[in-house]
Amino acid sequence: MSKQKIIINPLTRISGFMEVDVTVEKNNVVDVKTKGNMFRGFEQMLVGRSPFDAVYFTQRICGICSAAHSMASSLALEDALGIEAVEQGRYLRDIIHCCEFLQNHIRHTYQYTVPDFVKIEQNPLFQSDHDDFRIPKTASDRISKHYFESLTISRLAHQMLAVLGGKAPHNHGVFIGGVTTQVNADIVVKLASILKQVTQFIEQKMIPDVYEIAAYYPEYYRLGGGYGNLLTFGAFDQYKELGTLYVDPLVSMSRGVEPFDETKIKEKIDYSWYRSTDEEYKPDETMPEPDRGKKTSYSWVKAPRYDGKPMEVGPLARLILSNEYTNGISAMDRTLARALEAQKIAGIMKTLLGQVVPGVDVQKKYTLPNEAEGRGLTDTTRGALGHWLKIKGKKLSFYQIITPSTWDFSTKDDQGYRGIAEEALMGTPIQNVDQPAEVGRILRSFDPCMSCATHVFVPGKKVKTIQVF
Amino acid sequence: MTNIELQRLRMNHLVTQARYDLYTLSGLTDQSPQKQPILQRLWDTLSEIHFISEVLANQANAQPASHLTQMQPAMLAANGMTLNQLPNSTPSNDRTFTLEELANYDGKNGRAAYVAVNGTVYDVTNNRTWAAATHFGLTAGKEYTEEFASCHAGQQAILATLPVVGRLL
Amino acid sequence: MSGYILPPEPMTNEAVAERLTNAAVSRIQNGLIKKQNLIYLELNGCSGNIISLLNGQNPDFEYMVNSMVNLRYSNSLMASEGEQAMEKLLAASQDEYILAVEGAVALRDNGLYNVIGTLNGKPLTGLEAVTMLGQKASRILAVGACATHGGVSAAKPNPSESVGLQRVLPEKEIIKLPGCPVNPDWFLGTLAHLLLYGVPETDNLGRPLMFYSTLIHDRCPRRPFFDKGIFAEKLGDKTCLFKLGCRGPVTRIDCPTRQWNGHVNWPIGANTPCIGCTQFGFPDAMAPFITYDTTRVVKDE
Repeated sequence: MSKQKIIINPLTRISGFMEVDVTVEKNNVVDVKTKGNMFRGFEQMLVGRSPFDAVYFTQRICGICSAAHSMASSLALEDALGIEAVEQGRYLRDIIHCCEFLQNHIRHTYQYTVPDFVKIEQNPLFQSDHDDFRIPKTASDRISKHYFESLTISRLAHQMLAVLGGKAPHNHGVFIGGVTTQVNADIVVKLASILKQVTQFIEQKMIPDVYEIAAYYPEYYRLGGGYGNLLTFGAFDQYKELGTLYVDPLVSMSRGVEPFDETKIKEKIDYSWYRSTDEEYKPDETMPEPDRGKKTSYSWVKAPRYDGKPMEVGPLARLILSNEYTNGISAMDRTLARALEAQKIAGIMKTLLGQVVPGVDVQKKYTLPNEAEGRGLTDTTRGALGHWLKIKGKKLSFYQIITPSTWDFSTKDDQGYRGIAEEALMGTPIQNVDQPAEVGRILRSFDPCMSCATHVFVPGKKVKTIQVF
Repeated sequence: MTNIELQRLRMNHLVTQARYDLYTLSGLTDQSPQKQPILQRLWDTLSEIHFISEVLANQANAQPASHLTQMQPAMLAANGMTLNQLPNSTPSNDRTFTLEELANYDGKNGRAAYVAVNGTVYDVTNNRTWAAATHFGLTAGKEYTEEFASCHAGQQAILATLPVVGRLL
Repeated sequence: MSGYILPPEPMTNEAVAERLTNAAVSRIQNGLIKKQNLIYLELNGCSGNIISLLNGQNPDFEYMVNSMVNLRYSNSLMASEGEQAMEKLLAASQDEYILAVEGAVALRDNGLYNVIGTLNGKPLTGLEAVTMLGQKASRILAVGACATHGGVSAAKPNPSESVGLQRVLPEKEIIKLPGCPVNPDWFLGTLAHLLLYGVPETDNLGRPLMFYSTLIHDRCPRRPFFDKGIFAEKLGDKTCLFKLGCRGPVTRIDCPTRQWNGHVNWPIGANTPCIGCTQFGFPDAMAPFITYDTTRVVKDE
């Protein structure tokens, strides 16, 4: 039998727009291309704006993980302005970040992942394209019920975020120096009581539900593996008094686990529609010119590499690097890791809440340097996020963002490496090419965010952008 | 607090309330052609009331000059004025500005924020629509006759509420 | 008993919105009004409005999809994907439907900067989808700043040439719900009004007056500080944020009373300036968001 091409567009139940083209031969995936289908050009928009505005502006990149961008841009500005956030500021800011993790992981699990495996009968919106539903009715109905119950819980996670951050999505509280709010007993006890509800849901419903799913779809422990290179910029780490609550900046490659070294990050554009003096460069060096006519290219997403290798980022990478998960790397492991990490994050948030001191105002009146550079690297819900910025004449003159989904959904490179998600799909057996449920299930295990990591599908015309996103 | 001050407070309160009503009115989709001139007249009247209230208050406080500084900063801020720009308090309206001089009043680093429209220089330092000395992408210290005409056509009354600081050469 | 309401019904914004939605739901349940179809289209943006809608409370999302409308298409939430999802979109467009759109319409290269699916082997752009669906929709709601006027997607220099919905549907009446993102109450309250009483009363820019009539400044709890000339010099201060760039004085919305995420807080409550996200022209016309080097407080002699 000859090769068959499957195009899934739109890949629904993700953030943003994504297309996947899969070539199948003898019911096995032999080639994959993942394509983002939207373009806004945030980095270009940021040039010329007031550096302070970056914190609120960059959040608009993504509706589901907006606080992540406020974290990274605040860190980058602190670096540029030579400001060190005090511990109280860090605690409160990280509590806000915890709330986003909880919101995101709960929504990704129930609203985006569950409909892949569970038939939700309440509403035609959840009518599926395939009939590979194996979970017995009682369990299936229970998980369906939790789909709706989870809405209350993820809403509460956002409510906690708003208590400190003003509103969610697109909070105002995260800023240079930490946060803008000061807590009091009323706020602390409010957060603690909501957190308890959220934690109970995660422990009593979400984690059992994911294990239930895993039990009926065991082959997904073998599908969607990939290269096995893992990267984290560190999360909830290196507090002065508390030490590291989760994971330090680490990488894992064939030679073992080692500390993360930011100088080893390079972006490659061999197969992306860009032109530059070099086909690879460091994030703070170059903004390559787009060149849609470039023959070898097939995507607008560039290929970030660490020490030349594509790296998987996200909850599973973090749990493995922090020695809290050893089962393996696969689509199902990723989905499990997300639920387990939610529990971990709830615990961290509880610890941080116990450390906050009421009435501390960490904000100062900041002045801008005429010229400066800064970078903010942190792990967020989907993995490693980096913002690099330059200030000239008190305005932003350069902004570069590498999002977690750029790492996971990158293109091939000159060494023959594929993007992480592309590699994860390679060799996947497709039971029924008319109902290729496997593809969506594996891709969603990465929690793709195309609002964050977009390339675009443009015939002909040259795009005059500094950096596509 | 003097009686006249109370009156002024009351008057300002009415003005604020009426303006709010006006905005709501003017936002209605009703296409009636009579509406606009009526609204305009109403606005002008209100501005006048406002003006008179200022005059009254100033007259009441004019005798002991030092009294001026003790006048509610509340009222000053609310009406978009700073201490030395009270109408009729000093004849500062004779001041002239070149474009270069105007540019110094950009609202930065403690400086006042001035803008010029139709040759008149206005103080917008504490004007509520000029937060951080910026207004819908415009920055203070510049001449905005065209911008004003294109965004506030038929709303000359807005200018009447702004304290005048001089003329643009 | 009927005719007397004791104590009087609360007239707060949230109470009004809640009453509207509850009334709509009970009428649907009593068969007084027909559940209408809703097509929810996400275009060039951050998909933050659908996330915000999931934060809805009284009604929540479950209530909305099970009791108020038949949600026929939603990229973020529907189970179908690819071709089947597109087929569902086409099928839904054959019936009568309310169209809600979030995100801007990217015009560049005939809309290819925002492709929402593949239809008959060809990319379906946001531009094509919204032009097609907009013509036939019974009502159109522009949800969030990007849909109402381009918003952040159209920020300078607007590389994707994004515009608001009205620009590509100039003849259509569009109810505009600006905000970044939209507060779930603004959307759900407007939707309830559509189901119950038809098009809500709007201002001359198409914004429902029940939410967008009053300046933040006029109901700001920090207004007394403004009136007394007491201004914050940095974020985190508890006084008026005007000198830092607060756009509350030019922004019409009910944030001071409604607040966010179950009415717990709002940007000014977090000691930060309003950035005018519900105002047309956001973000460029509302920039800079935060400024430290403007006029200092005039100290008393």
